[in-house]
Amino acid sequence: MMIWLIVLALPIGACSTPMRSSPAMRSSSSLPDDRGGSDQSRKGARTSAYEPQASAAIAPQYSLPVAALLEEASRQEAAKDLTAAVGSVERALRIEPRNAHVWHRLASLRMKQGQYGMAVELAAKSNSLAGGDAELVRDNWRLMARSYRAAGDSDSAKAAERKAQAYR
Amino acid sequence: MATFRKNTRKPRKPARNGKKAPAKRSRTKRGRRRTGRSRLSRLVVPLVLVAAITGVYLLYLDHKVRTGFQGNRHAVPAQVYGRPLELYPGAKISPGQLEAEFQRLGYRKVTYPKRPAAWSRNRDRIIVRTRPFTFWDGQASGRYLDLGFRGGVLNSMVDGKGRPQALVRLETPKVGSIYAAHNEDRVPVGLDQVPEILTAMLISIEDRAFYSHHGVDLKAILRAVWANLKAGGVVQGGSTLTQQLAKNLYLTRKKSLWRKLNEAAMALIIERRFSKDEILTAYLNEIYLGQDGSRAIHGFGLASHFYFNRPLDELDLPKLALLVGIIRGPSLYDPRIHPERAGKRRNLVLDVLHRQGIVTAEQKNRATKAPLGVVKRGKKGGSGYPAFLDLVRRQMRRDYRPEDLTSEGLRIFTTLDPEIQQQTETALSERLRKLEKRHRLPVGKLEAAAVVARSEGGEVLAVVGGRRAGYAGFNRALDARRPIGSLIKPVVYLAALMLPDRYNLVTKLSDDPIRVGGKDGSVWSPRNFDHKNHGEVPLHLALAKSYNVATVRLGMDVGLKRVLDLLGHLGIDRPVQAIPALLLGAVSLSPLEVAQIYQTFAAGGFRSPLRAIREVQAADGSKLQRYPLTVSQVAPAGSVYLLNRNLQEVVRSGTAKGLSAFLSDQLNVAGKTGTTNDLKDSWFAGFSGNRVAVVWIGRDDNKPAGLTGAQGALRIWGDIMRRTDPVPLDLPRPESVEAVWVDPMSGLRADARCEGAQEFPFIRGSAPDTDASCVAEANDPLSTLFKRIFK
Repeated sequence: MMIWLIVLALPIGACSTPMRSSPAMRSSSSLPDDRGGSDQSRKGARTSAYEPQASAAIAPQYSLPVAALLEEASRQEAAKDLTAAVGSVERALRIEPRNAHVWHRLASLRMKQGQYGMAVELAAKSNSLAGGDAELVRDNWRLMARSYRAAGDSDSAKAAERKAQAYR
Repeated sequence: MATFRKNTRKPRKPARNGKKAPAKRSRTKRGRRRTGRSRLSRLVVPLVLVAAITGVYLLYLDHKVRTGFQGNRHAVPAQVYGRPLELYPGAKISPGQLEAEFQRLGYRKVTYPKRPAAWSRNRDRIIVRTRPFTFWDGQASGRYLDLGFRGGVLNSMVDGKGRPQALVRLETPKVGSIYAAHNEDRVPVGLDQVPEILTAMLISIEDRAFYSHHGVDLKAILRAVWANLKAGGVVQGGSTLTQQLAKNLYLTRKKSLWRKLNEAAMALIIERRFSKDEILTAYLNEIYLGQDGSRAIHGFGLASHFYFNRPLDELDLPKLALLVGIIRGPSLYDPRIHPERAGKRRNLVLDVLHRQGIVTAEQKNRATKAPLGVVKRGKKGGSGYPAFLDLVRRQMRRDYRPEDLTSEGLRIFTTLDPEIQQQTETALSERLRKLEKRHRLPVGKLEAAAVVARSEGGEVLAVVGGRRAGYAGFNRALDARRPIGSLIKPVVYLAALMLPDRYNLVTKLSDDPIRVGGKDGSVWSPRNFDHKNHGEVPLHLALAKSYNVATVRLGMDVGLKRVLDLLGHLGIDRPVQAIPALLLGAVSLSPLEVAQIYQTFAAGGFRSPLRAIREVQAADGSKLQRYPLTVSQVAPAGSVYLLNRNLQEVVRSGTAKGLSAFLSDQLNVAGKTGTTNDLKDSWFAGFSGNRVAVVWIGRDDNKPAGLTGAQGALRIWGDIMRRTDPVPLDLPRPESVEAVWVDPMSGLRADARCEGAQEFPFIRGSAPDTDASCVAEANDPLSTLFKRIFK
C-alpha cells in the first residue's frame, strides 16, 4: 500500500514546489476535511496536523457542582455579601477553569464591587475562552464598556461599546 | 490590608502589688537608749537586708510569672491548612485518593461510621461521617455521605436520606504551623474543649488535692519522700499541677534544690494570681508531652495530633489514659519507641482511675485491652511541607508582622494540594536516583526542585525544595537562582510573534553563524548545541529544535529591549542585564519565577501572580483577608496561541519528544527544555490543560550535573504529570487567529491538496499571500483526478 502510494505520488510530487526531500504523500485519512467530524478523526488530525480544527464553542452549560456554586453566589450577592459571592465563583472556577461564563460572572461581581480594572481584565479573560459564543462576547464587551465608563475612561468605554455592537 | 486587631487583654491585676518591704522606720520610740538601739540595729539590719532581697526576688518572680503566664498563653502559632477537597459526582477522585485524604484528616476506618470523623469502605463504595468545620466563609456541619466510585471517578454522592448531593467540601487538612524559633508549636485547647474525664484523670493521677491546696501540697511531698525512702529511689513525685506548670513555664528540666524552691515559690505566686480553672487550662496547654526532632510537644492539643493525628475531643479513654501516663516521663514512656512500657504505664493509670471510682471495671477492662492506637510518626518538624510553608511565610510577611504569624493563632488557608505535593516529591526523589544510576553520576550529588501550579489563577499546588523534601533547609524552588538557558527562548519568540507584520510561525530565520559585538569590544559568537548550522529554518522549527544561532539572530532583530520588557510583563521584576547572551538564557531565575513566566503562557497571555494563600482567619473565626484570583492580560491571546502551538511541537517532534515515554500524545502538552553551559543546569518547564510545572536539576556546588534538560528535568516533569492525572491541553483558538495552509518548504500559501502542506495558525492578515506553485498544480484537473483515484 505504502509503495503504491509513493510510486504514484512521484509524478505529482516531481512537478510541485521545489523540495529538498520528497515526503510521502499525505494520506487522505489525515486530511481534516470534515470539520465537524467524529471524535476519531479529530483525534487523528490533532496529532498529525500542526493546527487542529478550532474546538467547538463552550456551551453555556454548567456541571452540577458549578451550577450549585453559582446559585450560592447569587444568594450571597442578594444578601449583599459580595466577598463571599466572589469566593463561591472562584470555587466554581477551580472546578471549571475554562468556563467562559463563570469568568464573566466573576467580572460582573468585581464590577459591582467597584473594582473596574479587574472587571475589565476578567471580561477579557472570559472573551478569550468564549469561542463562538457571540452573545457572551457581546456581554463581556458591554461589561467592559460599563466598567470603563464607571472608571471615567469614556474613550475606552466608547471603543468597547462599538465592539459590543459588532456582536449584535 | 487587614485591619488586624491584636489581642491586648491584660491580666487582671489585684490591687496589691506584691509584698511591701518591711523597712518602716518607727519614729515613736525616740527616747530609747543608744546602746540598746545599736544592738538592735546590729540584728535588724541583716534581717531587713535579707527580707528586702527576698522581697525584691519575689517581686521579680511575680513579674516573671505574670508576663510569662500571659505571654505564653497568647503565643499561639498560625495554623496552616491545605486546600479542601471538593467532592462532586464527576470529580476525578479514586477511592484510594479519598482514603489518603481521610488519613490526612485523621478520620478513622470503621465497619460502619456512627460518629463523625469515621469512614468505611466496601470496594467502590465509601461511607463517611464528616466533622463539622469552620471554613473561611462559614461553618459547615458534619455530614453523612454515601459515595460511589467508578473507574477512578466519584460517580454518585447521596446523603443519609438517599438524596443526591451536588457538591460537598471536605474539611481542610492541616499541613503545618508557623512558630518562632524560640517558641514551641502548640494547638491550644480551652477547658470547655477538653473531655471532662481528662481533667478528672489529671487530678486523680497527678494532684489529688488540686482544688484545696495553695500551690504546694506538703502532705503529698511527705508522702512522696516516704515512698521514695521506702523504695530507695525516686518513684513518686510530690509536685502539684501548679508546680509542674511553673516548671514547664519557666524552669529548666535540671533537678536541683534551688530549682525546687523556685518552683514552689512560683507555684504559690501563680495560685495567688490566677484561678484554678486558669491554672488547669494553662497546664493542659503547657505540659511537656514529647519530642519531635527539635520541636518540643507541649500541651494536650498538640500531643493529641502528634500521637493520634486527631483532635483531643475525639480521643477515647485508653488514648487519654496513655497521654496522662506519658506526663511522668515523655521519653521513658514514648509509645513509639517503648510501646510495651507505655502500655503498662497506661494500664497502671487505668487501674488507679478504677480504684478511685472514676471509671467502671468494665470500662477499665475494655480500655486495657485496646491497642495504643498511636499513628506512625509524621514527617519531621510537624510539617511534611517545609518548602511550601516557606512560601506561605514569605507571602504572609508582605502583610503581617512576624509576631502576628507566630503568636496570634491565625488560621491560614492555603492552596497546597497534599496529593500533588506527595506525587511530586516521589517523582523527584525516585527519578533522581534512577538518573544517577543510568548516567553513572556520583550518588547523592544531584539536587532538584519543582513547582506545580494551576494554569488558570496561578494557585501553587506543590513546592519541592530538594530531593529530601521532608527536611527543611535550602529551598531551591525559591532560592536557587540559576541560569535558565533555553527556557528563555519562548519569551524571545513571543516577543517576535507579537509583531505579526514581521513574524509568523513560518518566517524564515537564518541559522548561519553570527558574531555579536559587545559594548566593551568583545565579540560573542554563539553556537548551536549540535555545533551545526542549519541554514534557513522556519521560525517554528528553530524553537522546536532549540537552535541557538537562529534565536540570537531573531532576538537581536526584535531588540533586546522588547524581550526584556516582555520578561517584565511576564512577572520578572528583578533587574535583568540587557546583554545579547540573555537571548540564550543568561539570566538567573528560581524555579518559582520560571513557573510564573510559563503560567502566563498556559493561561493564554493572562498573568495571575502565583499565590500560596487563599484566606486568612483570626483565631476567633473572624475574616481577616482574602487573596483573590486576579488576572491581567500581558500578551495578546493570538500571539500566545501561536507560541503555545509551537511549544506543543517542541513536545511532539522537537527537543522534548522524549516525553512520549511518559505521557500519551493525546494530552498535547506544551513545554520547553533548558540546558546551561557544561550541563550545569537541567531544566524543563511546561503545561498540560490544567497545570503548569517547572523542574530544575543541578548541583549545590554548581559543578556540572551531567544532564541536558531532556535527559534530566524532562523525565521528572513527565513523571510528575503522569502521576497527577493531567488534562489534555486543548487550546481554544482566539478570534484573532486563522488557520492557513502553508507549504512548509517555501513558506508560501498552499492548499489542502498540496503535498506536505500543513495548516498553521496565523494572526489574521499576517499569513503569506503568495501562492506556492503547488496551488496551481492542485487545481490542475488531472492531478485532482489522480488524487481522487488514490484516496
